[in-house]
Amino acid sequence: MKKPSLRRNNSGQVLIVTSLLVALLLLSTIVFVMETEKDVPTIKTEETDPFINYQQTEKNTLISALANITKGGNSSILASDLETLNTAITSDSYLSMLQINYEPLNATPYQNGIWISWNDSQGITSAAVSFALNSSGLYSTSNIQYTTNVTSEISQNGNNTRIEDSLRQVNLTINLQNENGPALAQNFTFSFENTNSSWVKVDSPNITDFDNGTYTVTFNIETAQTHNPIYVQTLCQDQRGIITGANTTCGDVPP
Amino acid sequence: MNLLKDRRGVARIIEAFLASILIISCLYLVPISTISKDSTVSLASKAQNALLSLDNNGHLATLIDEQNWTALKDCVASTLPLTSWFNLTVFDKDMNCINPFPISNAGLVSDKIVSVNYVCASQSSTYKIYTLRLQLSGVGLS
Repeated sequence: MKKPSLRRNNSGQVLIVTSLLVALLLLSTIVFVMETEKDVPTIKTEETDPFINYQQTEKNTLISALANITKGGNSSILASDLETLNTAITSDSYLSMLQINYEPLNATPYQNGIWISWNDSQGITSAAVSFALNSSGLYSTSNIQYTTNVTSEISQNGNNTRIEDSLRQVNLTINLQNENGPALAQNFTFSFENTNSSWVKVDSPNITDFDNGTYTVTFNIETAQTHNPIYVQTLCQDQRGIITGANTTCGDVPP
Repeated sequence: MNLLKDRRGVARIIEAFLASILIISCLYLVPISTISKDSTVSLASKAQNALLSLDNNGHLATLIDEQNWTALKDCVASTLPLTSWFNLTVFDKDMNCINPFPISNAGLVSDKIVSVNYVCASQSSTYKIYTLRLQLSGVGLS
């Protein structure tokens, strides 16, 4: 029987080891390339909506303008604030060329984007502006048009009850809405018309908050007025700082 | 003649190559890193959403108006995952930094940082506009 040659067998072992070493070399090269690729800085485009950031800011701008105007400011503040906003947004836009066109609404009842109507039993303070935004980036172009509206509205009704000769109790029910949804008030100011047609501020009204935009108010007034009704003026400041007013004729009801 | 007759070595080489291919295939199937390719975009969305949610009712600008930097830091921290790192810088309309100290949490936890700018307007009757720059990074965020 022929004895097997160890030398011939060993050449096969060397080839196996060599091939494994080559495989390991290839593997380590692949891992190295993959790890290196991860550290290369790459420019990635923002896939988020380029306009979503600005809608809340535009709404805040309208709220600020209304708060200013209803505290006695000039209505031209809206255009001024919008221009400031436009400058800030366009100078902040690094990834794309952003263009903002805005137009305060001039359709009735709005005038230069503002509508303030404080009438009997209802008061509306509103601002509306149309925006057209255009974004041109390296990879995409998009545009959007919409109208932003901010409205604070109160509606109220009331009556009065004679307690004594000159003492009367006034009862009011007030409903506050922001953009047609129930809203909470920050504070109220009430005044009533005296016999000499001057307005007298009510000192300590009793206000009940129902947490759904509805308030009931009770206060006593001293008046020499013998005839009915009593005229009450309400100024309501919502939690955004916008003031809305309404006058109410409170008729006499039996005690 | 001997080389032609002895096939054992060739078979083992082929076997070794097949084994190495199998190993490489397995390594490809195992994810090397949990950070996906679009993780930076996701981080940017997280940063943007955090600022948007804080500005929902003008709260963000109110805190800046009041210069309540501690509350601002707490608010931003509450909207982001615990494993994240952030650094918020507030600029006025002329791009001057107005926060007197860094609004940040802990130390940097990753070398991947995204930066998002957000223009924020005040609701108060005195109109002010701010630019917020939120830098965000995080472990395991995607």
